[in-house]
Amino acid sequence: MAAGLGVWHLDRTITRAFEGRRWDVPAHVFAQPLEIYEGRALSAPDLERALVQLGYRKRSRATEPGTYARSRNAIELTTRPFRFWDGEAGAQGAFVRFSNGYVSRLTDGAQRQPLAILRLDPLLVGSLFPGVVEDRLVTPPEAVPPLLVTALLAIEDRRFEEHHGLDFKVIARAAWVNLKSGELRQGGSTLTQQLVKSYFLSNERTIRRKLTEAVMALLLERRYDKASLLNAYINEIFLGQDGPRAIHGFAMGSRYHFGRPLGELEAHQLALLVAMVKGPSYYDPRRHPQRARQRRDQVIDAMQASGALSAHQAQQQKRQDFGLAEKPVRGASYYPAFMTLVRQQLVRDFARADLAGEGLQIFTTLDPEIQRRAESALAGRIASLEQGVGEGLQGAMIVTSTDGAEVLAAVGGRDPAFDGFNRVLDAQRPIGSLIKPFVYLAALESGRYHLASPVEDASVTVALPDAQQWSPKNYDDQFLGTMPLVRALAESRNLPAVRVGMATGVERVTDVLQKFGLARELTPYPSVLLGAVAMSPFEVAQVYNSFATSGAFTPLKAVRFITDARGEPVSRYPLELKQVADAAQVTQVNAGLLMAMRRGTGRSVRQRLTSGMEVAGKTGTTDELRDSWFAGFSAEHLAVVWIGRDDNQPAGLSGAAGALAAWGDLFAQLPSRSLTLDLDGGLRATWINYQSGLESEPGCGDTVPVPLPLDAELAPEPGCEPGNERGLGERALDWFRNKIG
Amino acid sequence: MRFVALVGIWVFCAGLAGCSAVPIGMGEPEEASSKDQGAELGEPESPLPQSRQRQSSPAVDALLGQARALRAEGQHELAAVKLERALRIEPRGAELWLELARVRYDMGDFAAAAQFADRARRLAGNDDDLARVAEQLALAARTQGL
Repeated sequence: MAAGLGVWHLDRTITRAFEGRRWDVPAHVFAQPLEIYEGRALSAPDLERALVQLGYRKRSRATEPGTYARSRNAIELTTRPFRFWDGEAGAQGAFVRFSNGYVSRLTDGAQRQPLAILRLDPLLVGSLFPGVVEDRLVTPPEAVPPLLVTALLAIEDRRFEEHHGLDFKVIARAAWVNLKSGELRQGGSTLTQQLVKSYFLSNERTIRRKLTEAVMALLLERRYDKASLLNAYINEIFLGQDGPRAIHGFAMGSRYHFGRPLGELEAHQLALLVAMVKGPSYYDPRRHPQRARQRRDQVIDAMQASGALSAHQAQQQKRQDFGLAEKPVRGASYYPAFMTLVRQQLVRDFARADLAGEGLQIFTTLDPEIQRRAESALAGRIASLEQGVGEGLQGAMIVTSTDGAEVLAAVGGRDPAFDGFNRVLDAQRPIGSLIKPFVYLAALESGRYHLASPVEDASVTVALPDAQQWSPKNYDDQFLGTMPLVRALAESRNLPAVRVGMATGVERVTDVLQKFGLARELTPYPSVLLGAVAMSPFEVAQVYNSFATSGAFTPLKAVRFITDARGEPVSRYPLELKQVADAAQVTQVNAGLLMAMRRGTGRSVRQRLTSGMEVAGKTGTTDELRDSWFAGFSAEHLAVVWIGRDDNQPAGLSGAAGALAAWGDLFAQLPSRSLTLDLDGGLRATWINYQSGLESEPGCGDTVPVPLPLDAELAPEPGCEPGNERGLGERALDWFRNKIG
Repeated sequence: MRFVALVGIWVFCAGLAGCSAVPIGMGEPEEASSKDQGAELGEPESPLPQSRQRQSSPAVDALLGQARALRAEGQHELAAVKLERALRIEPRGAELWLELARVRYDMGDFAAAAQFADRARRLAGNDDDLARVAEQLALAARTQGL
């Protein structure tokens, strides 16, 4: 009875483990394909990196699909055929010439005729299982190289096709060895036993453990056919450790060690992977090349013995060097934070059962190159900040394409490969001064303010409903008196924000946040005006993206298309937008955010950007420097950065000292279009004195240009009355040359 | 008031000439001036003259051409996919937004058509013809949507 229950329990456990990760029915998740066209910002090294990541092989002539040839300023390649949502793309030969970081010429391979646009096959970045999203690379049965199976069975389990889970001949031999030595030395495990073992990841070598595994192996064999078991094994087996991440399965192993898809490996490379099954660290080809080589040659011998290789071929293969990737390829397929966003979007829109369909293909918005840059910007900056403020900093970064509202990159922590706490979604932190653009937009919408309106940087006390009083302070504890609204925003003064916010109404501020895309109700406490509202970096990116698009709300998306295994369309997320605020009013706030980058809290980063690159953005800092935020955008890209500590202790960083610096690290390198302000109907550019807000002759005192509503009437700055417009324009230029040039 | 102030890189433009901001900086290499380069490339059915603001981009032209052909065949969703691809290359392409508005209009999605047409109008720069067509389409879409 007890034994029966025990077996029933084991059966249930192992069946669940197996069913939970049926490797033959995953959906494949792809990054966005790289599009190449003349004028695109892309360097030869960028393209080569992308090709290597895709497993393209370098040749002297690139005539076969999946190959490329490189000279200093040009790359020749032949794409692999791929079925995209909008049609089949055959293998295409192409010649790409580069100049100063741009594609200067794109022609077809053979005739050198101009080619308008070339799309590479997309990078496979993960797989989706019924109920679980894992960004594993998975090999479906039909894609397993037959030679791999031969090698595997030849060396690990010769009687796999015959036994029922256990190989008693091997066990007897192993038992004899163990008996002689007096310890558990030899395993004699079948592939099925190894599979069971890998499900439960235990290195325990007790008799009890062995027995449990043996019973489970027998149970698995009763339920599933050999082909399913073999495919599970090929996708599950442990092939190495990369920091905190285990490399499971031959597809991942191939990418990690060789930087290539499994299907493109040569016989000796398959043999090396099979050799490592016995002990991935013991036979690590980088650390122990001799050992690994010996074992690999043993596998090649076994392949020859089984008839898969001729003696001549075997000799030839043994002469080959490993052909390892220069560095282990880890970024190629591990984007846990981004995959969480994919899962979130899919789970929101589909029943789980619909996603379990066989072999769906999910085309995401991930841009692997921008992801790589974002990871390195965040990790690098956090490491250098820690030299000043001590250990234990964490962070998150999310990058979107502003108009398409597509998530291009998501970094969930300083170690982006760690699949744990994803701060992009899960770190809910007070946003501090990131709220101010919403306060001022609400104020502009009330019709009582514009950018030149005088506001008071003076102490204020707010009566709270519970008879308490709130007396907020400025970051520097000073009062600067009357100033134009644009300066209060650019320099992130707290007291004007509270005064303007109270005069406008806190609900109007929370209304703006909601219509800009915050999908939650907020209680309109006065403290909201200084950002006492906790949001995730993802939520911040959503609401700031609506600023970047001049007031058009588009839900952020991580998925573009879903097709079935044959490439037939299943579902698509079309471009949509909804204008939720007056574009002219949003443009005024954006001018304030641009001013913040030129003269205000963001100015430290501006000189690091490419000359002529304009951006708009806002810092955020919370009490006792617990949270360091920055949200900023160009015409094309938006990025939000949070840096702080997981335990919510003070991090010692203002928004400018931490998050802004990391944001600058990204944008200093990122090819992106400069921000421009659309002054369409309803706005005029006016020069004002930055201190007083009065209309002024440019260059007469401290003047800046601001967009104002056509009907805004300003008093002239005494002694600086604006002159005729021709002179005004010229003097503006002179002024800026002196000031900036 | 006519006021054109080139302020460093921060460009304002307003007044009689219509209004536009000229994108400068990275991502705009070798901007081709196509001031008088005639009508839309090989698109006789297009009522619109080529936008003077628009930069010549073979990739965008190719995708726009494909989208128009697909729309003519009634393949609206595929046409939209091509246009969205083109918009990733040229997010401020007023003609692309306008064409997307037309596709959505044809599909009976008037709310989206109106939004896209508004966007096209705002990005039209000093292409008054495009601005006018976009405005009419937005109005038509809003009327239909009632």
